[in-house]
Amino acid sequence: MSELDEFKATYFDECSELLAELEEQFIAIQEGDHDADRLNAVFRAIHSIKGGAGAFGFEQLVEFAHSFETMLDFVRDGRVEMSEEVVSLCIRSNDLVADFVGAARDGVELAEDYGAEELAAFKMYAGEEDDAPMEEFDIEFTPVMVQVGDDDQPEKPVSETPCDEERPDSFDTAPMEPGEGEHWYVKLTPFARLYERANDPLLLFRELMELGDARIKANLTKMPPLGDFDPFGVYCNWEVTLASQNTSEEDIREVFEFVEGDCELIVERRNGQVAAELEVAGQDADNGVSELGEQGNQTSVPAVDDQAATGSGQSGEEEGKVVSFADLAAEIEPAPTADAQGGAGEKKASAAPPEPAKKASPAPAKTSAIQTIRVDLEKVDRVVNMVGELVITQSMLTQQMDDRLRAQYQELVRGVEVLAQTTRGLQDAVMAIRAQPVKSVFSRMPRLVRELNAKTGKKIRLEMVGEHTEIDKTIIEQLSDPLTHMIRNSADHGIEQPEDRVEAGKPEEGIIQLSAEQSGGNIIIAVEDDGGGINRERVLNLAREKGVVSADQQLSDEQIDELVFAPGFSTASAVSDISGRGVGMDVVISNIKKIGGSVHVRSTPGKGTRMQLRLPLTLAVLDVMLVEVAGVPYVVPLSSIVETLQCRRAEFGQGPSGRQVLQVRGEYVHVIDLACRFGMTTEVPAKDRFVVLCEAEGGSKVALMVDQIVGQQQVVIKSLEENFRRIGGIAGGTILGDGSVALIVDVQGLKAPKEQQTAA
Amino acid sequence: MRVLTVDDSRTILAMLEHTLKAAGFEVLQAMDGQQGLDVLAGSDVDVVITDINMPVMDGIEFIRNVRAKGEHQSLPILILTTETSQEKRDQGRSAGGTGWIVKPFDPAKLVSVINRVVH
Amino acid sequence: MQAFEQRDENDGHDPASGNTMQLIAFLIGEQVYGVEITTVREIRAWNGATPLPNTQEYVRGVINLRGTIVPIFDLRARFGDGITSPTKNHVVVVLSVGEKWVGILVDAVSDILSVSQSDVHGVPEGNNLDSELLNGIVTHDNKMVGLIDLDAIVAGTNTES
Repeated sequence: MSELDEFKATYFDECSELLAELEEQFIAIQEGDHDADRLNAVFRAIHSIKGGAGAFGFEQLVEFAHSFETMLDFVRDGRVEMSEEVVSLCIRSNDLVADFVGAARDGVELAEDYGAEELAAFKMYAGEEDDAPMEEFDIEFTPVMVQVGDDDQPEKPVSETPCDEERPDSFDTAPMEPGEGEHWYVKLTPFARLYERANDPLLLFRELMELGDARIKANLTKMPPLGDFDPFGVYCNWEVTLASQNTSEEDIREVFEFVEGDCELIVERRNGQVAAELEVAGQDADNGVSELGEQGNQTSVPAVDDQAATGSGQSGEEEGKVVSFADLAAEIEPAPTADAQGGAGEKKASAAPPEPAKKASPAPAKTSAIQTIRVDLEKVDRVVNMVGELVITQSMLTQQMDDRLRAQYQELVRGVEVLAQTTRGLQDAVMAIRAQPVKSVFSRMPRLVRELNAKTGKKIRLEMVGEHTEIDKTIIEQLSDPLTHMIRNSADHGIEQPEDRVEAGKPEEGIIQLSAEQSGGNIIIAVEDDGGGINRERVLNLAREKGVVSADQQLSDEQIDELVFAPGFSTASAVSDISGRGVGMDVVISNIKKIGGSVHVRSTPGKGTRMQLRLPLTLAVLDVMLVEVAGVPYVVPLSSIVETLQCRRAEFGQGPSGRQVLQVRGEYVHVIDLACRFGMTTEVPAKDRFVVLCEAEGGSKVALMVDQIVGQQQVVIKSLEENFRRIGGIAGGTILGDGSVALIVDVQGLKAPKEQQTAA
Repeated sequence: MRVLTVDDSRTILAMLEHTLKAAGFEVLQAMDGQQGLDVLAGSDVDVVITDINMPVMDGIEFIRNVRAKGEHQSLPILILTTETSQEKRDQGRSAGGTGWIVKPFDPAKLVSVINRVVH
Repeated sequence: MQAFEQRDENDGHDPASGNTMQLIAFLIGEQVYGVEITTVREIRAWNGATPLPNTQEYVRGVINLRGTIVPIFDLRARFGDGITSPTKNHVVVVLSVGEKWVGILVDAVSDILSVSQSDVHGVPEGNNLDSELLNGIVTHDNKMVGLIDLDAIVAGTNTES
């Protein structure tokens, strides 16, 4: 089927729909429903049938539909009454339209006077309008390839070539062929509405240029000082000299067809040197005639070159005064804020505000706006997970790169290196998608503080710092409860009553500062108050009372401070309904640990308390060291590892309680043999084993003894709790390159129960 | 380069699509002015070709609506019309139409007219 | 997986009865146990598991099931008959229990059985583990099939050993 046939098929399909609709409408009309919408629908349907018929040259149908439509138009605006007669004419005519359509479809000729009666009736109602409903209907669906970009020469549309030889010249006031030195002079002074209708002189000149060698000069004498500059104002006009043979005034006027009435247009044939013409402009230069050709010189686009040969003899001397359109375009195009109207002005008054309403091209305006899409978080997470797996695969590949491979397959190695880089980049990019400013959780806190003020009678001001710091969305979601507890704690236990503050020489109003900042691979979120600080004596007594610490145990100030996070601990002498009943601060710890973070508290008596959360930037990927214990793989988060050493090089000793300690740089570090701790037996001799020195929260160290150190890699954290439960000393699981599961050692968790053992 | 064509006739839309695609344009379609506005709200368009007589929202109304939106003040809009009378065309221009195309359109003419109004 | 293919012929067993349930039957030594087929997610050969420290002896560890970590319970050990020494011929039946997926290590998957609800009998008293871990007992072809109470199997693991 040819394209034309396809269109015809579409058309006939559409016609049958329209005819069915028309019938329905006419029946309703016949029943007395003369609703305007109905008439409009009828009118449109006939109009559509006519339009398509015109395109395919079904002349009988066009003629009939046209007359029908004309009459309907009269009915529509009330010039003809929708009488019974008219209705019945319409219904009959509708059938006739169907006949015409059918005939056109089947290629059948109808009698020439088919429907003559109705045609006559139409004319009776609507009068003899025009007998030529349409011009010619020759339609050719030969695809035309036309450059639409502005970089290349726009090809002249072939069929419409204005300088067609056979075209009769209707303007015989001027000779067709300009002689030597003869050229067209065009002056365009746009009105504001030219721009309001989205026309653009630049484009008109571009089209004009197709007619010949056009030299264009922007006249800026009316450009006001910057202060008076109205971005919507019209200050510019253009003069064009067009050297072209075979160009009639009509050809030129046709270019300006769409702006007729929206501008002042002068088209004149002139004689004499083009140079002389432009001399005038040159004299105006000091008065503000912009010389767009400054750097453009005589470079013309290839499009004009041919014709330039005819006219350039004269134009050689005006370097710097005039410029071909190509230069003008080059001036304007790269700057999206400059347009044909303001473009010339852009040079003189480059600080002129952009003209949003008249931007020549809508595209730049749109790209400058930040575009967003809403995406289901689940989809993002799927990407995050897959990137995580990719990271693992990549690190597995990297692991396989031994020296032999490196020497032998350099290309492969390079490829793996590039892969590593790209994977990192991809990972960062994906993480950035999930990142959100902490503001979303911070913003809930002012309200909390207001409520606390009301409840406690204290005067507390909340200050927030760094609320634009971004962090993984999942972490943000986990932050709300801990922050609430911490702020409550500060308000309840930290900030003193106003009278006490005054007595202590502090301002009546207490301050709680909530801050967030990025520090390396972590986000630090702190709640800091200027209250009384932690009452260590009371905390310690209470802890002893509750059996959290033993009576004889000596604790450092820091250790006492950390007790506020101990489970079941509450310092409020009278349990208040604000900080709760000893549930709260330990919830903070468990929540934060769950997302791989840690909590620190530092207090200065009389000055205040700072509680600090250290959180990972992302939950998805963890840098770890892969170790082996009794043949089972474990991973230790790299962030907690201080150093690793061979056991044979390490100095061990016996601690006071008979436990093994590691002596490292003058420090005694408690040793945990992971094999023992995890209830396994290892056959690796002690001297061949390794020590992984880790730093737990609060700077305390612990030495983990393992059988083997395999290497470093990145892993994706997988939950054990999803299908099982939490296990002491284990922070989660991960999947190694070979598909097996390795457990993530929870350094803090390993250390904690031991301390409690000693405490008990 | 992306063209939004708005016409209630599927035939015209199909022909426009064919011609424009052959000339290297990307073509979006709408069957009335309201749909046209919806398309504009969701896509970047470089030029609009619209019919005048359409249900729901006619072309004049459509153009007026497009121009009322700041972001589309400089979007070229070509009126596609079979009207031989000057009247519709002038209405379209007053509403903010940039130029016009007379149906039935000649493919080459169509493309050259688009070039006259689009960068 | 092979087991699923047999489903059709077994469907004909008692198609009219709404009280029929289909069981996947598996062996631990001579003893036959069954779970409802709808709970079975996957059956795979034993391929090792990463042991979990400080858990009950019947917790054989965890495996990677397409990116999620699934615990494996040694059903023999769960019933107090000692730890299985698994080979490649042993089978892990992955089941969904509530929101969780768990695997049970058994000797072999033996059959798919269609049994009527009315054939389910109570667990005879005497064996504490049986009454804790079984929902009932079905007789099929003169064999006793213990119906595993999956919730009980999982519930027992929720405390540290």
